[in-house]
Amino acid sequence: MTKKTNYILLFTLFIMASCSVDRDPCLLPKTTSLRVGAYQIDTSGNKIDSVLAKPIWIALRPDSLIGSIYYSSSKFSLLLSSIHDSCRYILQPDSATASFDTLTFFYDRQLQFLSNACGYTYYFNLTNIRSTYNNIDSVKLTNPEVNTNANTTEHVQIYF
Amino acid sequence: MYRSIFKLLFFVLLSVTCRAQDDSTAAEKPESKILATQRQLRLGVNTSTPVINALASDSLSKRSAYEVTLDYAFKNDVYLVLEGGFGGSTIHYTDLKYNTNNSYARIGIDKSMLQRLFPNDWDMLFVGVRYGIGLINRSEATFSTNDNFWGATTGTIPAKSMTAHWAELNAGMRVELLKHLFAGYNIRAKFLANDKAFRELPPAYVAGYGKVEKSTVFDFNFYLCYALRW
Repeated sequence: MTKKTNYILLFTLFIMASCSVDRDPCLLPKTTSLRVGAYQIDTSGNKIDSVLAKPIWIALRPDSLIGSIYYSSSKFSLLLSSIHDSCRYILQPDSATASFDTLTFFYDRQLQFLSNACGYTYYFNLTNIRSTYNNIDSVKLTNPEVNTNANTTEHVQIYF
Repeated sequence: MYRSIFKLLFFVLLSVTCRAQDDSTAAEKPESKILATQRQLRLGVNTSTPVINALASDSLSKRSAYEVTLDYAFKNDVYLVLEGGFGGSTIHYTDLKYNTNNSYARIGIDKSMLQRLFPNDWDMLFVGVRYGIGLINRSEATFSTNDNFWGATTGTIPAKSMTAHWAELNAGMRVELLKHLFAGYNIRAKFLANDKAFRELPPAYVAGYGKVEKSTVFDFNFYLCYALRW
C-alpha cells in the first residue's frame, strides 16, 4: 500500500464510523393488561365462552368514571392502577339491561425496568378478587401474574 | 452501525490482501525475517470517540469518553497494550433521568500481521485481545410511568456503584504518517462478562464499553499516536 492509499483508507473509515444512532426506539410492550374471559357452563357441564351482547366495563376512578363499551365479546383487557394496590370496575353485561356487578381487584405492584429506551412500568401480582353476584355466578383467578407478556393464560375467568 | 462494521472489516481484509500480494512477490526471494533494531513505546489518544459523542449528544442524552493508549513492542511483532480513560453520561428523558460517570482500563496484546520491510518499519495491521474493567457510579435516578387512565407515577431509584468486566477482540492498523507520528484505528468486538450485574437500570453509556444493556457491542476508535524509540 502506498502512503496515499493509507490516508484515503483512514479518512474513509473515520467518516463511516462517525455515523451513530443515539437513543434506541422502545421496541418492548409497556402496557400491562389484565385479561378477563367470560364463560358459562352449558347443560352438559362444559365450559364455553359466554359472548356478552353489548357489555360495558366502567373503571371507578377516585375522581371520575371511565367506561368502555364492547360489542359481542367474551374477552376483555383491563388496566390496573399503578397508584393503588387495588382498583374497581363495574361490569354491565348488557348495556340494554340496567343490571351490573362490581369487581374489585387486589394486587401487589412490582416496579419493572424494561430498558433505557422504554423506562419503567409496573407488573402486578393479583392476590384477591371481590365481586357482587347480580349477574355473575363466580369469579376465578387463573393466573395472578399480570405483566407485558401477552402469551400467558388469561388472568381472570368470570362465569355467568 | 452493523453495516459500517462490515464495511470496515471489508477494508481490513482488503488491506491484508494488498499487503499479502506485496509479500508474495517478496517471498520469491529467500530472505530472513527483518527484526527491529530499536525499542518502541507508543503513546496515543483516541480522537474519534469524543467527536462521535459530541455529534450524538443532544438535550436529552449526553455522553463523553476520553481515552489514552500505550503500547510497547516486547517482541518483534507482539505489542503489550494498556488503555485507559474516563467518561460518563447524562440521561434526561421525560420518563427517566440520571447521571453516570466511570473510569476504565484495558490490558491486552496486539499481534502485527505485517512483516517489516526494513528495521524501522513500525506500520502494523494487527489483531488483538483485551480484558477491560470499568468502575461505574450511577446517580440516584428519577423515573415516571405514563398512565393516562389511572394516573402517572413517579419515583426514585437509589444511586449505585457497579463494576463491568469485558473481553474484546480487536483488529486495526497503525500507519506512520510522519516520523514518530502514527494514525490508525481499532475495530472492537466487546463481550460483557457480567451482564447480570446490570439488570436493574444499566447505565445507557459506559465509557470504554458502550451500552451495557447489550452483552455484545461493536465499536470503532481512531487514534493519533506518538512513538518514543531508543
